[in-house]
Amino acid sequence: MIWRYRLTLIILLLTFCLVVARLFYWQVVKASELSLLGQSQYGKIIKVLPQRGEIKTSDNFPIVANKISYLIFSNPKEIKDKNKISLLLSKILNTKESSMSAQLFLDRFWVPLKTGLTTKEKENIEKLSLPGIGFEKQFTRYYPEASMAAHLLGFVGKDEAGQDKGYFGIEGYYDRLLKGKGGIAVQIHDALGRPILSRTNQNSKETKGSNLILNINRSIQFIVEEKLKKGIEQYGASGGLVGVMDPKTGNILALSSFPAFSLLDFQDYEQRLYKNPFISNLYEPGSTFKPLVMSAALNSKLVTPQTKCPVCAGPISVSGFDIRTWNNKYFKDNNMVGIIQHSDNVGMVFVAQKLGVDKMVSYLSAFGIGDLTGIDLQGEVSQPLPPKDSWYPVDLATKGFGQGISITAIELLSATSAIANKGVRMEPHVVGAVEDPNGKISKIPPKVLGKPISQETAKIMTEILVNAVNKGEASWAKIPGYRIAGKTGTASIPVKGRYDVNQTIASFIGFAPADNPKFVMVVILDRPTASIYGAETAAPIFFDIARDLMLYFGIAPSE
Amino acid sequence: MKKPTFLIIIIMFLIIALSLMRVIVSNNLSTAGITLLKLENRLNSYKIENTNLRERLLNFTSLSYISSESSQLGFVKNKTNFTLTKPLPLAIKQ
Repeated sequence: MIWRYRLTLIILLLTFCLVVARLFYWQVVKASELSLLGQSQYGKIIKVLPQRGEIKTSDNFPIVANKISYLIFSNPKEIKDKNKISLLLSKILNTKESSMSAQLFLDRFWVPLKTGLTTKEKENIEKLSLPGIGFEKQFTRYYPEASMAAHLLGFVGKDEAGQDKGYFGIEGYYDRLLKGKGGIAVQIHDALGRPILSRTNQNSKETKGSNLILNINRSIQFIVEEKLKKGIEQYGASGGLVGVMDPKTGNILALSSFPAFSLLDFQDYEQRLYKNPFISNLYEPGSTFKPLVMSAALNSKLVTPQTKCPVCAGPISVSGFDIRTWNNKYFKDNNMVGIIQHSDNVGMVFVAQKLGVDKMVSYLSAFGIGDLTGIDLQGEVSQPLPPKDSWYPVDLATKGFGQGISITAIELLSATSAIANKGVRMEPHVVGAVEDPNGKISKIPPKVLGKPISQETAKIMTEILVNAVNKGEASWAKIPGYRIAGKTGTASIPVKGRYDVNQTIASFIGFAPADNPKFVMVVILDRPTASIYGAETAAPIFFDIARDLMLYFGIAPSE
Repeated sequence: MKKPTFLIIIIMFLIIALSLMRVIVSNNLSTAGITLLKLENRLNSYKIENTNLRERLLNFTSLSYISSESSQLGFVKNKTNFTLTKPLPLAIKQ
C-alpha cells in the first residue's frame, strides 16, 4: 500500500518539476523573444517629432519659428469608393483630380496625399469622417516677418533621405545645431487597443534643436530693407546690397540684398537667387577701396596728409595705359586729403606706387582682402590676391583705386571697420548666442582678427573721410549736424575684357558718428540707370538709412 | 488547534487575500490606460492650440504687420526731431 502513495508522490513531484522547467524555459530563456513578439503585436510605435531650433533676432523675437502642419495620407486598401473620395479630396485640397486618383489607386497601405495642411483644414476634413484617411503631425518653418533677411536666413529643404536640412545662410551654416533628433517610443496596447499604463518605453531620446539668437537688430533690418527697396526702384538698379556692422564687436546688425526670394516658396524661384550676394558675389569695389590703400601708405609713413602729389596735374600713363580721374578734372599738387576728397585716381596711382607691391600685398592681406572673413553664413567666397611676382605695374596702379581687384562686400565692410575701430579688425558675426534645448544660453564672444593699422593712422584716416563727406561729391546728401566718415565708389563693370563705362557698381561706405562709431555701413547698387555715380545713388540711400539709425540709437548732432 | 492546521489556514488566507489584491490592482491599471490616453489627447490638443496662438501672436507683433496697420490707421513717419542735450564740449587748447 505504501508504495502506491510513494509512486503517486513521485509522479506528482515529477510533473511539478516538468512544469517548473517549462516555465523557466518560457519566462527566462525565451523572455526577450516573447517580449519583442508582444511589442510587435500589441505595441504602437510613436514617432517623437524633432522640433528644429528657432532663429531669433537680438530682441528675442523669433524671425524663424515652427508651426504645426499636417500631412494627409490614405490607406487605399480601406477605401471602397476611390473615385468619389478622390473627387472630394481634390476639391478640398485644391489639387488635380487625376493626381489624387492616381495616388488612391496605388496598391499600398500608406500613400501621402499632401503636406502643409493647417489645423483648420485638417479639422474640416476630419469632420467628413472619410474612411482610410489619416493625418500625421509635422513641424514646418514659419516666418513671422515674411521674407525679411531671406538671404541671411537661408531655407529648409530636404536631403536625399527626405529629412529636413538647412541650405544657405544661417539655416545651412548652423544646420547641425538647429536640427533636433527624433526619438521613438513604444506603447503597449491591450487587445481592444487601449494603452497599458505600465508599458510605455522610450527606446531613444528625442531632443529639440538649439535656438539661435542673432546679433541682427530687427528694427535696423526693417529700416534697411525698406530704404534699399525704395532706392533700387528710385535709381532703376538691377539689385542692391546693404550691410550694417558694429565695428567694435563685429556684430552684424543688418544684412539685406535684392532681388531676393520668398522663404516659404523658395522652390518657385531661380536657384541663382539663393546665394547671398553680400558674401558670395565678387565685384570690383572702385573708389571705396581707396581708404584702405591710403591707410596703408599713411601707416607706413610713406605719405602724410599734407604730402603733395607731384603727378596729379593731368592723366598718368602706366605701361602704355592712360589713367584718368572720373570727371577728367585734375588738381595740381593735390595732397592726400584732397585725393580722397576728389576721389582722384591719379593721386591713388601715386600712393600705390609709393607703397610698392610688397607693402600693398602685405597691408591688403592684413585688412583681410583676398581671404575669407569667417562670417558664420554658408556660401562665403573670396578671391585670393595674385602672388607678388605676377603683379605688373598697371596692376599696382589700378588696384590703388579699386579696379582690377575683386572682393566681396563683406570683405570691404570688415576691412573698413578696422578704420572705424581704432585700427582693430573684428570678425563679422551674425549669431550672438546659442540657446540649448534646456534653456542654457552660450554667448559667442567677439573675435579680434588683427590690427592692420595703428590707432593714430585710423584717427587720421577717419578725419580724411569726414572731410570727404563734408566737401566731396556726396556732400549734398549728408546729414547736417553729424560727423560721418565715408567714401563714394563708382566702379566700371568689366564686360568681355573691357570696362563698360555706362554700367557701374555704385557704392558708398561709411561709419558714424565718426568720433565713436556705432555702426559701419556699406550700400552697393548694381547697375543703377538713373545715374551711374555712387555720389548720386548709393550715397543718398546711405544717408537716408543713417538718419534713421541716428534716431534709433539716440545720437544727438555734434555740430 | 494544532500548529500545522493553523499554518495552513493562514497560508490559504494569504493566498486568497493576495489574489483579491491582484485582481483589484490589475483592474485599476487596465482603466488607467484609458485615462492616460485621454490626458495625452488633452495635452496634445493644448500644445497644438498653444502653438497656433503663438503663431498668431507673432504675426500681430511682427514689424511688417505693425507698419502696415499703423499706416492704415494714419500714423506717419517722424520727420522732425529735436535734442534736449548737447554733447559735451571738447577741451581745446586756445
